[in-house]
Amino acid sequence: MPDVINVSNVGINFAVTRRRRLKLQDFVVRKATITAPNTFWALRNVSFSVRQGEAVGLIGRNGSGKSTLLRLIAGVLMPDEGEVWVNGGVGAMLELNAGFNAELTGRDNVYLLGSLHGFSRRQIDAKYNRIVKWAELEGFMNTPLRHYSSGMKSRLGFSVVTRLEEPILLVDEVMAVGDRRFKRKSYRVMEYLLSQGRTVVMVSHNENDLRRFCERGIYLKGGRKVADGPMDDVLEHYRADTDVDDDEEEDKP
Amino acid sequence: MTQVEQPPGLLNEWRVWWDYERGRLLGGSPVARINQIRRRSNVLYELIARGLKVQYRESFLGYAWSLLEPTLLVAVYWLIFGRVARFGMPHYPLFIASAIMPWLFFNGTLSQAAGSLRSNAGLVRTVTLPREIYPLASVGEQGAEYLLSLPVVFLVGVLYGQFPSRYIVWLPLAFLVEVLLVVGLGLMLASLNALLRDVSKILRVVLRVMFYLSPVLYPSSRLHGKLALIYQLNPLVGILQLNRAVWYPNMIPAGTLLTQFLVSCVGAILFFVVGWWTFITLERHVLKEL
Repeated sequence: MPDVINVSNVGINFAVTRRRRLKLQDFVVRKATITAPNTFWALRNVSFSVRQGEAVGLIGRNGSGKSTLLRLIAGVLMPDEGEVWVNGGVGAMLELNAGFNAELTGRDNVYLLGSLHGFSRRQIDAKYNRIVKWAELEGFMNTPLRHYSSGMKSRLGFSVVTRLEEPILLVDEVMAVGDRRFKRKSYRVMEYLLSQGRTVVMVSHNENDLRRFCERGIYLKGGRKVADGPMDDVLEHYRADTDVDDDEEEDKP
Repeated sequence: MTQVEQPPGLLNEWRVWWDYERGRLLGGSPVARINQIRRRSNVLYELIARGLKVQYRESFLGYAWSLLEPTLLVAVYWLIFGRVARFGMPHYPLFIASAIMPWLFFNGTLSQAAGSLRSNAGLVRTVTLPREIYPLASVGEQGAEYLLSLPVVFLVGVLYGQFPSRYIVWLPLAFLVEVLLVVGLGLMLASLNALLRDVSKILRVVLRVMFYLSPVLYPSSRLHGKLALIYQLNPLVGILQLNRAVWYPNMIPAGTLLTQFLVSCVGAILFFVVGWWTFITLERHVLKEL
């Protein structure tokens, strides 16, 4: 199977201080090779490729660069070093409610969010009823979104985003939607999506999910790739690592 | 495996480069970017529709505001500058209305485009879309409003028993040049404002000054000498003058009008190139800050 995602020597840095000054250098140098004093590298020297149909889980502690890496693959961040190459359409399931407009009705929002994620009007027409039915919002589609509860919003968002037909799916902790019933429902949807032989890169802290959905794991630590291999081995590595950390640090409040 | 014989030379190199650029998900050279925007042009349409819907649906008068707002503005300027300050021009309300519409388009687009990346930060951070779409949607939204509010000028014209002159056939060209100008400026301001919030504050003041430095309330022929030369470097002058010539064909000599409009064209192209270049250059930094 050919590679569909290729990440080579990727690095990205962020400013530590709140105020970032606009420098003349920004206009001249395309790729920042010099590390400015107030920046830290959220990711550096990360390389891997993903074959078509592979399901990869990104593992690591908070702030290890998992979401940043996912965003780089989605193209919503651009690397300062190295290159990210993606071959094929990307369905980015990063945040569920991001595309919604509070003033518009549920119906208008479905069309808006759908088109943002690459659907044509006709495609949404065909899916519309199923989207509404899954979210169980039949009576609310002409209500402005600002009258929705947060659960209703994320149900609608999840229902739209999971209809994506792109060959590559990027999933960032979006499985926990709504109450118990909806959590179970969304689980089934995720399982269905992943069973279709699409390429998946996902971020999760839930080891059961990771083991269930992904055969391969990549462990990130402090912005660097420390392990890459079968999910069980990588999880083992991660667990051993965190246990050591726990022993070193005293957990006093 | 047999290698397929490739024609050597520049053409082939160019083809390899183009295949690479075309395969890009986002970013790259301007040609690749145009391709990406074209591919997602339905989103542009949806974003423009969203803007207009929110605006019209949430107010009681809806579309009527697009006509009322410029009418009221003309009335205010007419009262102050026509009645109180006695800026005597024939049919002064028509004189203002003919040039204030393209000005309002310029003003509205830049204010909205400057904030477009910030106000759509949620989308910029999560949806795989060419980022140029957001300032472009601002231009589209304001452009649609501009076209929808054009009847006001014709209404005022008819009220004074005036009819548009032959210059009306040039009106679409004036609109296109203005679009090019605001797209460039909009791209520049959107990226700069994402990095420095001060930009939108400064913009407000600059636009105010620009309003009085453009021939909206007075004819450009009021200025003479060296000052007039500098004054005419303002790319808005030619666009506004052409709009005005539709109703006042004899006020400006055709030669002057042509020169002024050519300056506008050159200015628009220049700002378009510089604006987009700024946007592309700053994009990587902007994405981190949103």
